[in-house]
Amino acid sequence: LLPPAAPWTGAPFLDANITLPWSDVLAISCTWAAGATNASEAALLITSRLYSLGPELFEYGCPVFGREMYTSSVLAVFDCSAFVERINGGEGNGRFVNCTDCACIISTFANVLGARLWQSRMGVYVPAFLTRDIRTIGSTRWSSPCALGLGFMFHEVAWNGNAAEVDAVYDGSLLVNANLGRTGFIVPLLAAGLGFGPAFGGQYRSMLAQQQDQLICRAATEERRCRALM
Amino acid sequence: MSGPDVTPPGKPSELHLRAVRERIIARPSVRAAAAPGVFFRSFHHNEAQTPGWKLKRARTLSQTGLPNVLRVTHLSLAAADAPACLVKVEVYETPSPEAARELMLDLLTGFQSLPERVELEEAIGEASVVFPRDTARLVARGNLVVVLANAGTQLASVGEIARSLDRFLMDAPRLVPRTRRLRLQQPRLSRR
Repeated sequence: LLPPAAPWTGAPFLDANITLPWSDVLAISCTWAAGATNASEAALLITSRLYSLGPELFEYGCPVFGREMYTSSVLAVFDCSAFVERINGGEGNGRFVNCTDCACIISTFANVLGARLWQSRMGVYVPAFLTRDIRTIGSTRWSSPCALGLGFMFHEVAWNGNAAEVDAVYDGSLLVNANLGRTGFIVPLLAAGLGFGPAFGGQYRSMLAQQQDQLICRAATEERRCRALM
Repeated sequence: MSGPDVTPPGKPSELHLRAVRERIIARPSVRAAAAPGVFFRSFHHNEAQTPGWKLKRARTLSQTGLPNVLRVTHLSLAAADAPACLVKVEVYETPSPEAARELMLDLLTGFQSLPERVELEEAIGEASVVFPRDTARLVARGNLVVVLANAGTQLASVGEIARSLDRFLMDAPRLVPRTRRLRLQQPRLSRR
């Protein structure tokens, strides 16, 4: 494992510096990533653990139209203290999460163990891209997002490298169907360390977006971020 | 391998804002500008402002790094008679009513599954974005934007909290005591 990466720092060693690794976060990350021998494995285990917290602790926020509840994209912050509170048995900011929240949780908890993950988006906002059937965190149903049939204006995941097409994604907010055929059984797959891939390339992008919308579901590398802690 | 850097706060992308604008239907009655002269600073919540709701969590961000957001207060409120009913409330203080309207649009980008149509009305506040079934709402009043969203297993209509808070905000300036102008006296020099 490597030293912590952003949003974490190792200095200055002052009480006021909230970017020094939090003991609570280290405790959770180490528990979730137990057995990992490198940062990629740690990120994979953290992604898997986050998804498994649904439906007991978390659920994709369909009732609130997928609002970010642990993140503020405008303020560029991740409410890590609220998330830790929820994991430790408190209310935190409640049970609803969206893809941005999950991207922040995975990248922040993996980066403290030395991963180098961004929070980055795919899609072009207008038009939205239609998805194949997915199973969002906390749900038991395979459907379009919130069964509305509207697709995603954007989708956000934890993403390694430069958050480009060739890099791997870690998506704790939903399962994709790895069976790319039009018929047959659903093969549930949690994308953790899976390449985003080119359109029609058979990787994450092909599993998430419907065939006709795979060009719209492009990697928005220019929007990659790392939100600060609060 | 170089890692990520912390990203400074900023405006959502223009493409995203355009996508949001396309989904807003403004009722004709919504006034173009907010009422002048209503300005709030250092919002502080107490339970009297939201009858029937208990404060579970409060957090204030006084330095946001954004010129159009002076301060943000995050609250979690639980219904007194139904603890599974939890609502997250965020109060954004901006420099002007115009900045508040603009921020309200920016904050709509935080909804990944925005409905095809959201209504802008003025039933509460000077402008209010209402979501189907009233599970979430954004309200602009003066230089403030209040965002309310359900966060618990049991869903509540957030309109009632929004209405109580708005009533408090409109009453609040009257609670401020009038100040008297004091005349400063010349300093006296003691002579020995």
